[in-house]
Amino acid sequence: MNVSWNWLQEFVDLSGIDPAAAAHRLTMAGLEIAAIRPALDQNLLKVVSARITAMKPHPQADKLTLCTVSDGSETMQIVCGAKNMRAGDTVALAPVGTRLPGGMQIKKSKIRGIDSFGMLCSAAEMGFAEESAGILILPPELEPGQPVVRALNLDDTILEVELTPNRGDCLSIIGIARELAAIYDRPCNYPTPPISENGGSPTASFVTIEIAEPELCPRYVGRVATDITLEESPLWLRQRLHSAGVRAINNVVDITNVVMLETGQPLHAFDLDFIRDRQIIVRRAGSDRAFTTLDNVERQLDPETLMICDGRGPVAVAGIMGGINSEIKDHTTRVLIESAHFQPASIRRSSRLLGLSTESSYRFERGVDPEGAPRAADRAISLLQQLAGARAAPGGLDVHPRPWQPAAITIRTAYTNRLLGIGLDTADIGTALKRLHFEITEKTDDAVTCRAPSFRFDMEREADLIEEVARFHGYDNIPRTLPRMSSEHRQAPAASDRFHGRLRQLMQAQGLSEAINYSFMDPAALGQLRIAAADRRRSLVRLRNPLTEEMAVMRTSLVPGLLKNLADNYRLARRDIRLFELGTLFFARPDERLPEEEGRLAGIITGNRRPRHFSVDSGKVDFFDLKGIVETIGTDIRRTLGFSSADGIEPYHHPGRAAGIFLDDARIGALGQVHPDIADDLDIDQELYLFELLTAPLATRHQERPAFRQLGRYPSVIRDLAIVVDNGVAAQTLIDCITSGSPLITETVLFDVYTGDQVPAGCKSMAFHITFQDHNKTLTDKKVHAIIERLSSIIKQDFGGAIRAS
Amino acid sequence: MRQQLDDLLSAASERLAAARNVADVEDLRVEFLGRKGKLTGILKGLGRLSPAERPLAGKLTNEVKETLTGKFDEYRQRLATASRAADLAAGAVDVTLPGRRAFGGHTHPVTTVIGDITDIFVRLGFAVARGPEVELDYYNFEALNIPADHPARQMQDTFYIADDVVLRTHTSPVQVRVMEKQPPPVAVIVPGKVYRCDSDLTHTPMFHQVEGLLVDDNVTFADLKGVLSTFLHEFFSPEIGVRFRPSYFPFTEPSAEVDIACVICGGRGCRVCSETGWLEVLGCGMVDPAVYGFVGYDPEKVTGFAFGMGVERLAMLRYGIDDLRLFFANDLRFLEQF
Repeated sequence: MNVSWNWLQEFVDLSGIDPAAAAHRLTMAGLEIAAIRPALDQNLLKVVSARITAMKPHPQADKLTLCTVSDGSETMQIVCGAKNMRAGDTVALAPVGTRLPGGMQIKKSKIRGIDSFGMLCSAAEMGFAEESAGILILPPELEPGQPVVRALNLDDTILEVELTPNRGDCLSIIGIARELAAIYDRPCNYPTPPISENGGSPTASFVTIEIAEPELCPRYVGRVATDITLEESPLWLRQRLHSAGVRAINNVVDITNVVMLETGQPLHAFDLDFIRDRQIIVRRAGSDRAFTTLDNVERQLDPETLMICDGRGPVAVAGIMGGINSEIKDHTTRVLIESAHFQPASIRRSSRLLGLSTESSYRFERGVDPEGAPRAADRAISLLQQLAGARAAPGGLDVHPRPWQPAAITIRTAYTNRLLGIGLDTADIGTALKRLHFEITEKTDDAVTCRAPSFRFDMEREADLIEEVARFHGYDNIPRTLPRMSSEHRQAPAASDRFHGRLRQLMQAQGLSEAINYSFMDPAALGQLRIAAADRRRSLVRLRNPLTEEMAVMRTSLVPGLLKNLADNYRLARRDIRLFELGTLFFARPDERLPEEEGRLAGIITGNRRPRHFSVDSGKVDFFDLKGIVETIGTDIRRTLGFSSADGIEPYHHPGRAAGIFLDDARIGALGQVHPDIADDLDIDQELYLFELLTAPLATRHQERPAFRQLGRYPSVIRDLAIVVDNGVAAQTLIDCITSGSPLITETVLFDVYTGDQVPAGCKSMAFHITFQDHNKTLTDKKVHAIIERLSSIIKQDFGGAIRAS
Repeated sequence: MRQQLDDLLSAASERLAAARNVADVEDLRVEFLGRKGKLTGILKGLGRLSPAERPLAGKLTNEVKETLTGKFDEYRQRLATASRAADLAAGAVDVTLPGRRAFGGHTHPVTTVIGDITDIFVRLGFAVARGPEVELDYYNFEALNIPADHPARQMQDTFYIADDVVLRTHTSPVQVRVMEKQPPPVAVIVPGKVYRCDSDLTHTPMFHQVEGLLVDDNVTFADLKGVLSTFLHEFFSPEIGVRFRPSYFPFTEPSAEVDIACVICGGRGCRVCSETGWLEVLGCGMVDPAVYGFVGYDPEKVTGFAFGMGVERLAMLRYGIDDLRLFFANDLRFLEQF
């Protein structure tokens, strides 16, 4: 909300206070001033008052006039296109060198052959009206040579207030003025508006008011003005609207708007001639289905929406917008001013359903002073009398089925101090509340009981008062202390948190950078990954109001995100890409309101195995680089992970270069080359390798403490064994066979795999380092030899393998 | 004899001076001092001397032998040193050629910032708690004193899964879950992802928050100021200006926004801080008694404070990142800067 500094001063004396200082005090009192700026373009200070001393027609152009003007020290000739001025008028002169708010630069120019030394400005050209007919004619008593904006008191400062939703009371000039009055301990005056009830017939003869929904409309004030002259509002009023960013329309509408800005009470003006059956009924829309609001949009009504109706049907959506059927028109002469109070929740709901938010609904949603309606209506009538020549019908109507009852609230000094950590006296609390316009009803040594003013309808409980006292005392004046933390607060970090940190270290150590993707997923992504219909990843959690279809469901895989990241980076000409993500997946559960949330780690690599170096070509990453990354995680939790190509591979992997990942015989994920078809779809001409695995089972193992084993005191023996087997024999089965061949074998390392001339076609040779260790005595060659012999015969038997060398 | 020895000595010295390497010296040693060497030859002549001459001749011979041995050692040493020096010179590399590296991975700045925030609060005695990201309306709103038609629901554009299930719009629901589960005292922080139905230059539909909650029998607003000032001073810098100003949240009262002096202009006023000199970084307040009602705590017995901060905002201020969307684009040119 934009607040004019000049306007504030109508209600509170701000003499001697700098707007910037006041802005700071307001901010520190909870009314955040987001910005302070001059109301008008400072270049406008160059525009001065000038007197037209002579006028004659332009010899070359009928529509132009040559004006001789004097700014008090100089006389100059100006070509002017307007018609509304006369010789002797005081006008606004923009001399050569002025830059107007629209960006127009005033230069000495020749118009149709005649020199012109400046421009005579309209209010619109000076940026303080939306549109103007003709140039601005200034009051005749104004001396020439004065900056126009100063002379018109338009040189103003605007405070941009950002209000929290609880401070509906400050959505007005008077609201802010009241706060300033409290802060600076100055009186805030908003006198009763003077009305001369000079109309012939009483209000009740024009209209009756009936409230069918007193809960939604606790009060409805109606006043009638007749004999109105509809015209443009005077400059000062248009300028006020302009300062608040509200467009000027005509004097009647402008008056309702200016009173709303001033008091915070939204008003509506009906053309009384179009209120049928002389009736106003406040009721829900019910069977009325469609209604055209004054912005000329036909709106579909929810039956619950509160409407203002006449004897035949709706004339306004209550608290939001009037109808086109009863709007103020050029020939309007009689108006009904509505100043009502509506329940915030009802207006909020209607506004949301209609998708229509207005200055009025904005205020009602946040709450309006329940006692403010009559005064706002009076203020509008008073202005109509002053500015539109209106006559006021005697006796306004005030239907008030639910009077406002302020609660008595007690604030305890000791509790206040205990909560805030300060040492206020009960007297301090009383002073604060009094300054904030509360009515003290009882004061004891250690408590104050009070009633909130009606505009502080948000005050309900002791906590509310404590907040008022705290902000009045000033948060700056509360000390900074550190709490005494009891030992019960202390808790060790959760195992999963520590393990996630460890996983990040492991990934980074292997050159993978961390990605964070949105938790949303495109449901079509599962099809692209060829995920089967019965797969758990099809148990989608769907958003009711997604931003786009690509973000319509919660993700059930980290893979689509990483593939997209990879493709995006590839498009940026990156070829060596290594990313991981540690994230949560969401699986819908049929019998639960909340889905299963599961942590996953996924990684993707492509390109060179190592950064390019002049000395060597490291080669491209392959399956075993990926597997090594995953195996490192197993090493970290002191487990050997299992890998099986027969079991648990993913449909998005290369069928011959993929494996399920197993921990203690349970599948925890899969790894492999991304299927070349998918890489093709992404326009990536490189092999991509990807894994995804569950983190929770790993975290559990990570928690286990390592059990120390004695270091071997006797020397170990290493023997190499090369075995020729059929190509189809998996390395792991041989390794398992060897390792289980004797308890003395502590490690089996495959160090060479060979196919070629030296072995028969369809066979491969695998060579192992086998470590033997006896913890009780020194191993003899004989014993090792015996084990190897036995192993050889088992291998021969089980795999048809030939021992090539040992 | 003496003449012979002198000749031998000068011949050896001359030859040694011409030796180019350790092998030459060794050859000379064999030639002069070896078993079949020249000195041995001279020694053989010792037998032809008279017994009276022999001691002197023997002594002379030994002296020559020692001198020669010394010289050979000296030359060997000198040449070995020279040879090593030559080898070293030949083995020099251009140290400005690039090293042979492995790829290095980078931590996402959101992770780093969450880690730093967590470390500071853990040192202050807070534990880390977590909760679901798909959350019941009850925890996300209702139990935080935000009933169905509350305007604060519109402050946070919510993604809905079902009538009563939402993507949490803040990490605050974990406050309620923690208090439901354990009696006071409670001191937790809650890092995590949150969601709002909003996407433009300055909003992403997902971002990260860290929530904090301390409830005990005598926790004050002054403690809140102390804890958060300590945090901000550690996170940004010990000198940075910190101010608390009144604000509004449905689940705290009194509530405050915490500003730091603008990190761009130092508080003089600039475009980033809208000329105010201050940047909003945290929301906080004393836990509203209504919230205690939902979890069965007695507001007459306990007091406490809660706070929440946006991780990306803190990261942007700390690193000078000017585009929020970069956090989720996963562009390596961005990630590799952290």
